Amino acid sequence: MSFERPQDPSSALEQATQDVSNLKSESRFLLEEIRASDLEFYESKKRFLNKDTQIHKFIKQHGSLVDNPKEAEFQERIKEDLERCHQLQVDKCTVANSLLYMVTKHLKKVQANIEALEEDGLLAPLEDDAVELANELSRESSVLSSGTSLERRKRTVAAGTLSAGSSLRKRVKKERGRSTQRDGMLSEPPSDEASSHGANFADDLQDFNDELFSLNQQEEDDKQLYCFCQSVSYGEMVACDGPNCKYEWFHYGCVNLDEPPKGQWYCPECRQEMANLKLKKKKRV
Amino acid sequence: MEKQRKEYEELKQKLKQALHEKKVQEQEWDQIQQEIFDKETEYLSGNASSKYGTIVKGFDGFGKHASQDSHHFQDQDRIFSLSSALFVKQQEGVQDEE
Repeated sequence: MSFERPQDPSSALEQATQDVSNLKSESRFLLEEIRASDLEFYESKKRFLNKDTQIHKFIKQHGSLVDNPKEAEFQERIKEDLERCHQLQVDKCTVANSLLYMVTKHLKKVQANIEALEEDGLLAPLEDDAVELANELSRESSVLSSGTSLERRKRTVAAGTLSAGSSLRKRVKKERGRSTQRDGMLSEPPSDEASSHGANFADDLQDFNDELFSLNQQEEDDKQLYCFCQSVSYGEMVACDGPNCKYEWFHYGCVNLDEPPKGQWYCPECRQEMANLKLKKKKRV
Repeated sequence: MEKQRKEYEELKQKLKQALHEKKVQEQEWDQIQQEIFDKETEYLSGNASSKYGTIVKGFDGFGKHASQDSHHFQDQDRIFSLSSALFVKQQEGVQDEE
């Protein structure tokens, strides 16, 4: 990927804010475009349903044995309208996809900037609370009632986008405050948090596009969602030993693991839970 | 005659299937629309991310202190739901009843 390497976190943040400043009007414009197509779609639908009713009416009045002189013409017109409707729907999908593309482009750029800054030691790697934020968000989204499995997958995509995006935003914001203190300090090598988030997002996006263009595609066997990121199972997974763990299984990348952990392993959430319990006990004693 | 009858039965079966398919699609469509509405409400009414700005209100305030009114939004901010013509018609219907 070729892009300008950011000089420091605050200029990167400024640049990113400037980049997305058009997003507001762009998204509004595109969605209004979809709406205009949709309105036209309903006009066409009304028109061909009207023609259809006229054909029905004729049959009711004259019986089905009398030839309707207009029927052929009506059929032709109905067919035209139906084809127009189909074209409108395809156009709507294209417009929606270009909006998705725009958002992805911005997100990718911010991610690339963050990675570059982390590599240069200008930015401290992501800390736990940002991960927890992302995880909180994905839980928020998964609380909503579930529909069919297909929809559930779509929703996961949305949740993934949301959490990836917001954790990034949060990260940028945090780093800005800290950059003054950390100036000149050498930071640890970049964690794979950023890359794993990026990979998740890319995967989700891929899923989404696959779905868009081949709705009839067979779904994977394992549709169960795991981990903070609430995605399907892929690659190496690790199980949490916490008895009340909400997620149970985690992707290696999401919890910073490269190899199987030794002994008991608890996810950040359960670790937090256990720490809280300990604290309470101490207080009581 | 026999052949025509067979053709008629086949067409009837096809129509039945198509109508069933239509019903299923419509249900799914309803669900998706509701889902968009819910997600939109969640996004606009302020979860952890929206206080830094949303795609509807822009990100001008990003990096500054979060404004207090970020939790308020109007119906016209529902740009996602509003992209559906039927949603607009439903809203008009609701307003007429009131």
